[in-house]
Amino acid sequence: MLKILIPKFKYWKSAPAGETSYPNLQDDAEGISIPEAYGVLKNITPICINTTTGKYKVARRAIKAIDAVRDNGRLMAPAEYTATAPELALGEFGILTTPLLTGGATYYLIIESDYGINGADYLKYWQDNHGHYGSFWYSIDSESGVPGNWTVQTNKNLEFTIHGRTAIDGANTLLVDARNWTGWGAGITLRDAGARTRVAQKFIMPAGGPWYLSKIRIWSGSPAGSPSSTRITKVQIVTVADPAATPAIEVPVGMKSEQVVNGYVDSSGWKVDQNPKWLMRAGGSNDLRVDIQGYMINPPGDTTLIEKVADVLYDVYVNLMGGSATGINVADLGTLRTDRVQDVVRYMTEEKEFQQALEVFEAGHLFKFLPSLAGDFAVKLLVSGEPAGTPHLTEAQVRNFTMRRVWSNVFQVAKIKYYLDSSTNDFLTAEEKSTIAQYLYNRQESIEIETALKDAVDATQLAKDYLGTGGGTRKVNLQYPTRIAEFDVLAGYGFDLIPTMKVKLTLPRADYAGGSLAGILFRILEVHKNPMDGSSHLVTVLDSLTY
Amino acid sequence: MPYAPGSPNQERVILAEIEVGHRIDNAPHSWTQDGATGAWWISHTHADKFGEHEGKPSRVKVNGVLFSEDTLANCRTTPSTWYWHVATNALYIHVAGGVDPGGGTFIVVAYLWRRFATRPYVFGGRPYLPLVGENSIPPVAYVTGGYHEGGTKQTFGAIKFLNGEGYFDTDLSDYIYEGKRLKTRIGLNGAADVDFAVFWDGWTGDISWTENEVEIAVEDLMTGVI
Repeated sequence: MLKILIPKFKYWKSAPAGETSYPNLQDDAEGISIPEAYGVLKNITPICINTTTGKYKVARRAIKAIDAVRDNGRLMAPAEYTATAPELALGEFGILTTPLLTGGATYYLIIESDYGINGADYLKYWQDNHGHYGSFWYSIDSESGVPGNWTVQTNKNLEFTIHGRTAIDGANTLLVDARNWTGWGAGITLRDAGARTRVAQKFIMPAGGPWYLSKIRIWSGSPAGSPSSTRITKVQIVTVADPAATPAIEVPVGMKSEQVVNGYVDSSGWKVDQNPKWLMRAGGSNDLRVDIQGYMINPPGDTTLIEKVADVLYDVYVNLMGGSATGINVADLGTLRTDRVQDVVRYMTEEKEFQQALEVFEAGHLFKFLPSLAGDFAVKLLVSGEPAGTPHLTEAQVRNFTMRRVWSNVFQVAKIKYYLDSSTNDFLTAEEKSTIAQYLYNRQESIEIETALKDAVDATQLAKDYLGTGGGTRKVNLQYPTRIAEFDVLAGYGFDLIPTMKVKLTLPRADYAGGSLAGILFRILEVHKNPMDGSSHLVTVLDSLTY
Repeated sequence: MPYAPGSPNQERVILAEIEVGHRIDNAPHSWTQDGATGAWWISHTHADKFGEHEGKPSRVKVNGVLFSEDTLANCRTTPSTWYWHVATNALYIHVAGGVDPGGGTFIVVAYLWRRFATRPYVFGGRPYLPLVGENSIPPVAYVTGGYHEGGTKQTFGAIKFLNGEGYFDTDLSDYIYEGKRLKTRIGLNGAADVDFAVFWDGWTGDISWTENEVEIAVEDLMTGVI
């Protein structure tokens, strides 16, 4: 079990038996692992599983939500991607597909926006008043007074260019160039009146292609007044100048139209960008990052996000590795669930042995996962006090008793690594320092501990717990030398003990305050049992320094 | 009290239990449909070297999925169930689609416990064969580290079983011994069952056979899922 590799499944264009094929998978994703996703995950890199339809995958199983999608750092509007229930059930989402335009064909570009019409604040576009490119500009819903009616404007055009590629990852080419620097004016207005809510521009693609649309650049003039910066501008491409035509293509230009129009308004006012961004590609070449909420407890019945370590451990054991639902002691798991409530984030993207993930969970939430001798796996928490049934060993049962103070285990600084960014592979770090380690024990060593913790407050408290410097109810006390007691016990005792359990010692001589032990608790680190002579050997640590 | 020390001279008994597997989806096993229902049955009366029938399985798995024990009526109608007919020593199972479990689509494994001891013994009302070799039980180590150090690990070496009478000559072929659950208990001869302590719970590993003994390596429970 410890060596089972997680994640188990991979992206394949042609998958082996039992796995899913993705024939239109982005080329560089072949054979990489399909991630397993726990918690609130930010800035993860999705894989394009269908470069034709623009379908992306972030996890192998159903996820709770897509919170945000960014393209080259630009926050995409919800209208630009899809995250439907069926898509989320597969750990997927979609983006609008890259428009594909036919060589030599005629198209119509439609621009519309949604800012309020008040007659004073509106956008203007540069226009060619002399028909250099043709008589290709149309007003829609306009002077004719008929909604949806297209009215051609003689000898008028927008000033615009269109770029494209012959392959989705190919080089960009200027395909349509409707610029002429004589006789231009800022004459085309949009939403200056209720009759001018849309404008259209006819264009003809050059021969060749088909062409993947990569950029539309429209020159705009200074706006009238102060149009709202929160408007959404939509660009559509249709194939016929028909009032009833259904838009053939909706170009994903996002908020504020800055990807299309070289002048735009944002929160700080009017801006001019002489080089609008390239349009996002539906294929695997986009630089997409996604914020998601990962797996749920038991969808569709229980859609609670899995973000507690007990639920992550159970899900990995049962649903990823195929263990029995009762393979982990149910009561222990319940205790872990109620006592270790710090949120977890874990995006498992590369094949790693289960043991590596387990050790990260153990270190971050201070528990041990181990066989119980009762036929299941136990989960034992670092807690103070004496559990019921703790064996009390005395001089009559103990032999060869020795104690050690392990100075080399003292650390001055505890660094807790938390919230791994899967795209950059960087952790956040919380840190705590101990003056006791430095001034009493002359140690200035640091210990760095990787965790799956989500929040800074939990990581900071854990750093204090590890050093024992304050707050909280758990202490590992690495600011002090570890106090080890090692001894044999007579026949019979020790056979039902496992590490993490405690024993109580009463002995007349010991390295301890007063020179003896009177019912002092030690936690077991090692049990060595010899069935042939019935003896056992225990290695323990002083519980008062490690609860 | 589990395994109290008692007198050092009192005889200790060590019990070893292995949950071996019996693959029953392929030849020479054949299944009979229970009328027109989705249940199919097989005579499950294979006997060991000493004529002991294997009897009711401890568990049944099909393609690695644990089936539920149920009544015959439910087994006839409900996939992923099994039923043991005590009068005829027949095992009924109902796989997906109610088709023949021996049709080549499924790997069907019935499990049963093999029980051995260091002396003839009855524990839990069941006989234990005295095939655990004297002085053959290796020491057990069960070690963990600090919470930040990770790596809890058990090691146990190997157990030697007596094979002078050839018990394992056919049993190792008739049943799957590798990668199966192995539990060992220790107690004093004649003590109550509750006074025996489990001191190892793990998996079987490599197996060495000789005419005189069979040595079964023992693996940490954490090498597999339960």
